[in-house]
Amino acid sequence: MNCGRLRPLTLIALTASLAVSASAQNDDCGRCHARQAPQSKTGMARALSAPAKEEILRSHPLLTFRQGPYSYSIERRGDESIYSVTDGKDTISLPISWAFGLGAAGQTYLLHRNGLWYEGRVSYYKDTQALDLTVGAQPNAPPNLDEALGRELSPQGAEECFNCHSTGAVVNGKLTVDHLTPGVQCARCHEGVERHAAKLEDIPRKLHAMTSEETADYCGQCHRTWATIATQGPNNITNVRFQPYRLVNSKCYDAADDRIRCTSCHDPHNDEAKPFASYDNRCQACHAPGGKGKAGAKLCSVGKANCAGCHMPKVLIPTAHNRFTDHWIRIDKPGTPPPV
Amino acid sequence: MRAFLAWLALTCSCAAAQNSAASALQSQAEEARTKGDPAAIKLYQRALTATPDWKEGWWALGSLEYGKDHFPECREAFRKLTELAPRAGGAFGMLGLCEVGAKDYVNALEHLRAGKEFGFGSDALEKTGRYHLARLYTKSGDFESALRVIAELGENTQESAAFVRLAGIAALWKPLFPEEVPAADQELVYLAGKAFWHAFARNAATAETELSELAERYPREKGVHYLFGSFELRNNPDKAVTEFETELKIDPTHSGALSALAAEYLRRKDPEKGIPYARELGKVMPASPVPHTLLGRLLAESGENKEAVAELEKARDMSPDDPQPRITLASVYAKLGRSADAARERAAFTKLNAARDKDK
Repeated sequence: MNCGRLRPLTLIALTASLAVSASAQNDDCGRCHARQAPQSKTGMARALSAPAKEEILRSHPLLTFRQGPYSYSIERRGDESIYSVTDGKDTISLPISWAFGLGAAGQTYLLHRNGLWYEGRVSYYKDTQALDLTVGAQPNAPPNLDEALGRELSPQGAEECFNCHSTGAVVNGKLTVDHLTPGVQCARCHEGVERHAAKLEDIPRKLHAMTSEETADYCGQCHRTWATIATQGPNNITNVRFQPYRLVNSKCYDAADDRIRCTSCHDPHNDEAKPFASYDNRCQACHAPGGKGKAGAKLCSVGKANCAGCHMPKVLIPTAHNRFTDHWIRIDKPGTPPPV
Repeated sequence: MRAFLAWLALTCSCAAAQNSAASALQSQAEEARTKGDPAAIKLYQRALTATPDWKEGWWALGSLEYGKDHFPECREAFRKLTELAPRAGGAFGMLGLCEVGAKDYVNALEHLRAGKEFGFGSDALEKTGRYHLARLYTKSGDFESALRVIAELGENTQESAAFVRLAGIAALWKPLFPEEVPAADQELVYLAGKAFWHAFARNAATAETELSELAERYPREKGVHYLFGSFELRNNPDKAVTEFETELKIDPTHSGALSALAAEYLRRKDPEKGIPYARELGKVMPASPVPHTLLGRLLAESGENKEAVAELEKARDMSPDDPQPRITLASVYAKLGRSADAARERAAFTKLNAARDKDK
């Protein structure tokens, strides 16, 4: 496609699209950026959904869970899903405001009550097709019904949730839920996309122009940086989910070497699952005869293929009912727990 | 051999006699104290001369002296007790209170802090010890620490005029003892304290109304807008920014308002707005690492990595045990391709942070 020839039409369309949603804007971006167009199908693009269209909630008309004196249910009523918790005497029932996560591993629900946001104490897990405690929730039964409902989020906490799962949620440093577009759309990562749409030569910074450390920080805005986990935790097995933190801990991580960065293996515009072998050439860029790695990049004495299968093992986080790829690249000795 | 055995028997009998005499003295002292006999102090002194490691005795003697406002004497008794029991929070608390009475404020602050750390041990001492600790923090200008102590008190203590007034003084950043507050400021202090107390009692709606009224009533008074802004920061950051800016118009050197604005713009990822406040803070607090850490983080956020390194290295060198500057320093070194320096700072952060967690 010749962008030059289409430019006047594209300009009109893109400029008009500024007034519409970010997802509609994605379609417009796709007119020129065909290679990035599959982004709208990625898990990131669908990281948040309204209950009315949410497939897990629609296909599970009644989900229940019990902990100590508290009984939980999520019940489908028309286009709404009602999240309830009762201690047998009193009940709190609220419509789910937003479903966080596509459900590849699980899905967590945000509730709005008396002007405050709450993270539901129970979440849905794909592995069990059922509810269980949300990852990070205190395992003991809460002292009262209000706390049993879920975790009250600070305004900053709520802002962080929406800012990572949607586009346009934070305007001038303030959460504006009414104007957000669910999911991570073009404009969420590519700051200045509106200017680019209005004036095509104003090109936003490209991810692949960033250094390894800048990429880890950039993706780590949501996937958690080394600094975030080091200062705020969690300092336990559940931090396996936070890939930039784990990657930076790897012995082979070199902030000055662009071959080891998030985008070396991941295309944020296309998260199609790939076999382990497809990543081998990234490892072997250093760990191969003649590989120009940092001093001491050794050759593997065990195998020559499927490097990630051994050196980036899948680690079970029991509370998340899921196995996550551990980005702390290492020699994984059988019977040794993952480092935390 | 016979001579040795005879000597041993004599020694033992002497020691037994001495023990028995000391024990009798202790009993007499305790009996006198129970009866409220003024001779109790002398009896304890004699008993403690005979048995200087008698902890209960030092506690009782110190308490008797404290009850009589004999502050230098009670300080001495509790100082001995803290030597014998170096982790006894109650003893440190009482030592601090005696030092307050003796107007030895520097040591009082240190010992009341130790008392709080080890645990005061009784409700009455807890309340009094924390009150005086907050009072001394306020006088020394460490208002944030004072307010933390008062907030903790507020969670477990019923509202009282003394606590409210102290809260007001600390919240307005006045380095004064309550008795030093000028008569003209009494109402201001009380209203500020009341709002602070309500804020920490989770009565946010009342606190907001009171703070709003306070700002209307005292629009030119130092500290009022900073207090209001601090309250609004969590739920209404735009309002907080306006209040902090108003505070700076009244007092351009208010370090709290300067650091709050720098930190808020850092949170908003708007370093260009935050940097001038951090630079100004550096002029106000030249000996503190805080402005350098803030400025370094803001510069890093704006991509000025080399300048950021210079500021963060200053902060690190001024406060080598503080893990905070190191975390950003590691990240900035990494962005500059200084991998080994980044790894060193990350390792230092992890070590210092673990040590800090252990201390907590």
